[in-house]
Formats: sequence, structure tokens, C-alpha cells
Amino acid sequence: MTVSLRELHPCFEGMVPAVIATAAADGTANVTHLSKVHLVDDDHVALSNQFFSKTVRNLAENPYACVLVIDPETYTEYRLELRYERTERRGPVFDRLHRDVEAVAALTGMQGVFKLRSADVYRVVALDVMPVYADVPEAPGTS
Amino acid sequence: MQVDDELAAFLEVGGSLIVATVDTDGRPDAARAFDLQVLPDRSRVRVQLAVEATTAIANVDAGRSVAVTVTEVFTARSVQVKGHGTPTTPPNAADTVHGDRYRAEFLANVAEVEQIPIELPRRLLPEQFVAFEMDIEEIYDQTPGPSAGAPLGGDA
Repeated sequence: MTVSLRELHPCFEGMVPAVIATAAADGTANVTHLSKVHLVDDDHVALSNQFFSKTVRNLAENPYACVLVIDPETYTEYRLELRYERTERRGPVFDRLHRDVEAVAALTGMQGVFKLRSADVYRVVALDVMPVYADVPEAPGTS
Repeated sequence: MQVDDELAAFLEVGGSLIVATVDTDGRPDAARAFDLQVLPDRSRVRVQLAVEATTAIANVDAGRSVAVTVTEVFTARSVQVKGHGTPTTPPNAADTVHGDRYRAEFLANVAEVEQIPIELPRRLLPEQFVAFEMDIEEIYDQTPGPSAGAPLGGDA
């Protein structure tokens, strides 16, 4: 099954946290949740850099990452292999991520804690649909 | 590294389990895990992966670095443990009992916090598993925020 990045747009609404795995130069693995992955274009996604986290330090040493995202409507999961391309500190992508970070900070009363440092843009080098083990349940009122 | 009773209980909270492994070229892989048991000496964990997680299984079997993060779905409190796994094996009877309970709690927790039918997250739940054990070599607070990545205490 071939699927395009744009078809995954429900996955990029931030309804279900994403997962990102990275590796340090010495091969030490790291895995954490991400609140949101941002669609940039047909081949790229962006991740917000808010803290000088282990994920960010790993990506400075090793540009590859693996991300899992879930469609909140169907709970179909997708696996994205990413390669870091560039960091943006201004422009439309940065502005979009900045608005999202500010909104989340306001909702959680964490203004001043969650602050966007940069928008990091990645090329999606592989995209796979993960196995599912049950049918999508019918929505209430459709049967 | 030995975890204390509170941390041991947290690691088995029925939370989201995510795993990172690394291949021979240094490329990371992300996968979900479907059970975590803290073994009685509290310095090792036993983790179950889907049999379909072939990349993660190959990386674990090769003895490379493994990271497992547990996230409690109601609070987002997260803890990451790191180490190196033993080669994967089919689950034993105790794995099945523990895993069935863990997975039932996880699905119920996700359905409650997301206010969705339990059938939706059940789509993620595999039918067959493998298990591996891992020494807890490092342990970190992974709760979202500025303290994410801070080492947590434990007895070396």
C-alpha cells in the first residue's frame, strides 16, 4: 500500500502524541513522545525545538530519526523515517510552530516555559503503514 | 541500577510503552511495546514486542542499545530506561498473564483519557509477542517539559 504524506493530515493535528526515536553518535538509543508533528510539504515535516533535549543533541550528531504517528479517527499507525535537513528561526513554518507552542503553553498555564527555539525540518525518506489488528469500529448511529 | 518501589510500580502502570533501537548503521527505529515487568531484583525489566516488529527485534537480538519509555496516559508522566537486551524469546506463561493484564489496563486508560471506544486503540494491539530482558543501565525523567532528560535516582 502506497500512501502520501498529505494523506496523513489527521495524524498531524496533535490529537494523539507522536513518538520519536533517535540515536547518539555512539549508538545509544533515545525515545520520547512528541506533542505534534507538522506537515510542511509533500516530502517534509517539521518538529518544534523547545529545549536543548537529548533528541536535539542526538540529531546534531546523527541526522536520522524514526517517528510513529497515529490517525486519531482510525488509530491506524504510520512509521516515518526522517533525515534532518535544516533549522528555521523565522518564516512561515517557524511562525506556524510558534503559534502552536504558544497555544499549548496557554492551555497548560506554562507560558514562558514552553518557548520555541527553532523549527527543525526533516525529509521523509520512508513511510510505512503499520499493521492493524482489528476493523475500524462503526461510528455511533451508523449501524 | 536498582529502582525503588515507587518507580518500579510506576513502570508497570499500564501506560504507553515505546521502544527505540538502533541498527548497524546507527539508524534508529521506533516501535511500541505491549508489556513491561520489573523483575524481582528491581534492576531488570522484561519487555514484550509484537512479532511483527522485525527491525526492533533484530536490533535487540544484536545486543545494541535499547531505550524504553513508559508514559502514564492521564498525567503524561514519563520515565525512560536504557540498557541492552537479551535475545528475544517467545513469551512464557507468566508473560502472558502479566501482559494480558497490562494491555487491558492500557487500552482502558487510553479509551478513558481520549473519550473514544476501546475498539479504536485495540487496533494497535498485536496477537503475538516476543519478550526480552534488559538491565536498567540508565534511567531518566522523560515527562514533557524542561526537566525531560534529567537522570533519576537509583542504586547503582
